[in-house]
Amino acid sequence: MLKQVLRKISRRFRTSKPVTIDSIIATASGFEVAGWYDTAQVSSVSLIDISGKDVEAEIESVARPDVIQATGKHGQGFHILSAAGNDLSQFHLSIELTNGKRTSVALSGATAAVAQRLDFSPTEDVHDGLVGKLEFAVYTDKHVFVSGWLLDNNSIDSIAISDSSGKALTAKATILRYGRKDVADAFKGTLGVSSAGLAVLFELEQPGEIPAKLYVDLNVDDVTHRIKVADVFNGVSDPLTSIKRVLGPWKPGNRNHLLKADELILPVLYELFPADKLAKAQSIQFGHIPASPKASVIIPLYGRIDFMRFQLSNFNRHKSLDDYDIIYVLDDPSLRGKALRLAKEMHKILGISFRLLLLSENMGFGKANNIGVAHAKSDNLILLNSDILPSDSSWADELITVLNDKSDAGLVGARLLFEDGSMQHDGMVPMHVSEYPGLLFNDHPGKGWPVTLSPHKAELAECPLVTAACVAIKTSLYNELGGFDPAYVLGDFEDSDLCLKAIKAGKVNYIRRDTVLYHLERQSQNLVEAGDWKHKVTLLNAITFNNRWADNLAELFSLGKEVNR
Amino acid sequence: MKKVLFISHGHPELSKGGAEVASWNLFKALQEQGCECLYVARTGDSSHGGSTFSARADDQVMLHTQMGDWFTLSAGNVKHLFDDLGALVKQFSPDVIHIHHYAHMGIEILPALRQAAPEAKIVFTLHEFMAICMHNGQMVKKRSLKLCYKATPADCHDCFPQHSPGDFFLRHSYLLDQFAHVDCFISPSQFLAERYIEWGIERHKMNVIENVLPDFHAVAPRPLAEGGKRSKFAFFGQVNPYKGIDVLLEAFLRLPDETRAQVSLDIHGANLDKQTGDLQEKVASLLEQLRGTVSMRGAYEPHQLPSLLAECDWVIIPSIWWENSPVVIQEAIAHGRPLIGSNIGGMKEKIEGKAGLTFDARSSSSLAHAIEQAMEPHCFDHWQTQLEPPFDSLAKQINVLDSLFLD
Repeated sequence: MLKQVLRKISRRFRTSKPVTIDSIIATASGFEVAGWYDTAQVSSVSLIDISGKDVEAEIESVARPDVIQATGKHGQGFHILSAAGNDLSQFHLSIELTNGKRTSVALSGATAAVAQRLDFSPTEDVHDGLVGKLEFAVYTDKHVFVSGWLLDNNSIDSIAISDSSGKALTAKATILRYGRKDVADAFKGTLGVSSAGLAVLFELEQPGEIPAKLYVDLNVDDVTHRIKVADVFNGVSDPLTSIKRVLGPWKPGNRNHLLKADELILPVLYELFPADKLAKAQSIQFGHIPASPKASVIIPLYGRIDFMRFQLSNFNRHKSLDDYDIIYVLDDPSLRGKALRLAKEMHKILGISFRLLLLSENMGFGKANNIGVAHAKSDNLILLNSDILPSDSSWADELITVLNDKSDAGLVGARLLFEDGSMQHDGMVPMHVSEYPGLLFNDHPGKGWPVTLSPHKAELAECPLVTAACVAIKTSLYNELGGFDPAYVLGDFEDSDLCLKAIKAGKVNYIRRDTVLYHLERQSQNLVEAGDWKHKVTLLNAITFNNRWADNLAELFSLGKEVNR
Repeated sequence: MKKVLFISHGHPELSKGGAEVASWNLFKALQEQGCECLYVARTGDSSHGGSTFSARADDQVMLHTQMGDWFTLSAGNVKHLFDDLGALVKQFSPDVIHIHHYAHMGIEILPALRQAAPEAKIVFTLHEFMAICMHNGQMVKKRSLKLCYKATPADCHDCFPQHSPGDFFLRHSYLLDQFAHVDCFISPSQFLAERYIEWGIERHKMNVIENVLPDFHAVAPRPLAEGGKRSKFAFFGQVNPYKGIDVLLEAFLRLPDETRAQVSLDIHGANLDKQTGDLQEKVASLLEQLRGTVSMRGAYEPHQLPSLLAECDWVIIPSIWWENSPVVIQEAIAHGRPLIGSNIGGMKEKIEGKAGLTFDARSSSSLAHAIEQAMEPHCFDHWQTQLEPPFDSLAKQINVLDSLFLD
């Protein structure tokens, strides 16, 4: 009986939320709800009122390939457009479950993780004749980011934040003015409406707590206006939502915005994702670690923990890692239980030995690797992505041989293929993208080509830049170089950064094009299709990368002087 | 004599799928040869006291377990396979494990059996394309129902957009990992064997052996009156879209009126009520138009087969999927009835030039033409006298078992 009760309880906790609401946006006559549901649990959604009656709405299904990539769940996206008024307290989302049952969620209060969106009608405030609104602020220990709009004809003389007593809190302000379509539409013909958008990063005089009510003092045409910020958010309490908010107004496709990133966005990004953030790592061992492993293989897991099943099964069939120290690093605390269950199951099925490190916080790709390396038993490392699948028994030995034979070896990469056999990685080179002049990105020449078209022979060759999706390096060198730099947020550019650090330390990086593995790379963000926040984070990482290495890259690859940023 | 453990995903007394029946017939045949055999069949019912096993007879154990993930074909309960079945296998200590399916149990049953019996030879009989094709192992495109010639990650993703091409690549790799525990594969058709070899199973492990049939006796051709036609046709099998029931009925509708007045078709099969509304409506409308020509005879028991076959001249197998080696083909041949079958896959292999006529798969006009041809007594006699039942299947099975212990 007790067992049954316990089982029931644990089952309840195991079921995850069936529907995720990404955003609810008010429209002129109603609202739009966007989100997705897990098709394993939900068959459809619709709109009802509080008495349970159906409400007329346009319901559109949208593909959400991002959901499975991020969560492993089969997400069906939806957009619901209702013109039945915008008092959210009157409506519920009705959810039909695959087990035939129905449930519902209230729409009011469902918007905790709403990304900042600009396509709503601006509500205006008037402050002593100055029309505008300061919509929100995100604060960190040292900064306050404020976003809004003002019809001041771009004539702010000074701007500062003060507390309710009028005491100034900020020392320095970086201001970005830009066009906002919603404001321009609503106030057509008003002078200066084309630069009504306002984003400001304030540096706090004294680091520390911010009062709940925040006032911005604006000096326009010798008149001081004191405007209250509508919503004030504590940035570090939810860094991901916060960075989405901060990035909302930032339009990197606009050169002005791109140039302002260093002052306006990067300081708060670094604070939201601090390089010195710590996590506890709980190590769980399955089987035995070899006494002197040929290498420690570090594999971070995020979202798709099921990759562990396929990889371990592959290692086991080909006996490719029998004398290796395999360390999975779960960088996704919400999946601890599931990952642990899967690890136990795979150990039982395969009998293969490995360790699973459970991190107490989501640390990002670079730091997750660094933590994994701290647990390494071998002086050789192989850093491996979880969506890499080898196809033979010798790949790991081949990479380690280079480390052991070449005393100058820095990083040693491999040739990587997509599942259709075309090239994913054959070495990287820096490239310019016309949309973002002056910035260098990593290019994978030959991506998607048949291997037969590679200009390179299937052999060991020098290659300054290799991907960290699969790379070998001496543990001592990795540590000497400081590992992956945590300044890159959520995983970008840390591999090329590490490559360049190794070169700077006098090492030579190699690629073994005769060592071939599959890399089921998730659909990477398209650099030219701007707009979403993840893409913007990539750009910010690119800026960090360029700030550090643009000169070295120009020298290393004999790049002509491009237009400066 | 060797100890042989059988694993089947169902018990033939409870579910009459091709794999269940084939494994059962081999089980009985090897028992008669003096082998000590244990038949383990999976069931979805709950057992007494929540135990993993129950018994159906001293030599027949029911395994109560379920699937966890139909994408990776993974077990729903690893303990059932590795601990519980593992202990049972260790106790029985087989020389050979004859496994006929992993469905409803999990592909990890292969490593579980290997762990429990490291020295035993694992023989796996393939019955359809489940490992290759996510679409119920049919190798028919999901939406268009077109024939599929090769499963590639990109094409599979096209049928199942919720799974990325990369996921299909991983699925393929994972299933091959588990199949690596098998010492010997048996395929009842060359066609199926070739598809699996192309997919990644080593050719040297593959053996093509027709399913073993229980004792059977040929049934003499139906007596024909002077000038009579071979006009009685029969269909045996599930009434579902893959079995081509609509193609079959349309073909009869296409026959010229005076021909149709002479022919009859008996449909021995069930489950029309379990099909989609569209198919039910289509079949109902065709049946209405074929009133007097077609009879729906319903499900049948195996022991009724000889008498049902005796009533007819020809057996028609109009499947729109490839098939492997449908039991109905072997049974028709064994009982002395020629066939008309689709000219694809296992049907083409087993019928063309050997046991009757073939027609362009999915073409009701081609089938109608074949029916008209088949009515001529000389055509029937030509094929009827050529029929060669697979008498040697059991000997081949035993040969393969013996060869496994040679090295």
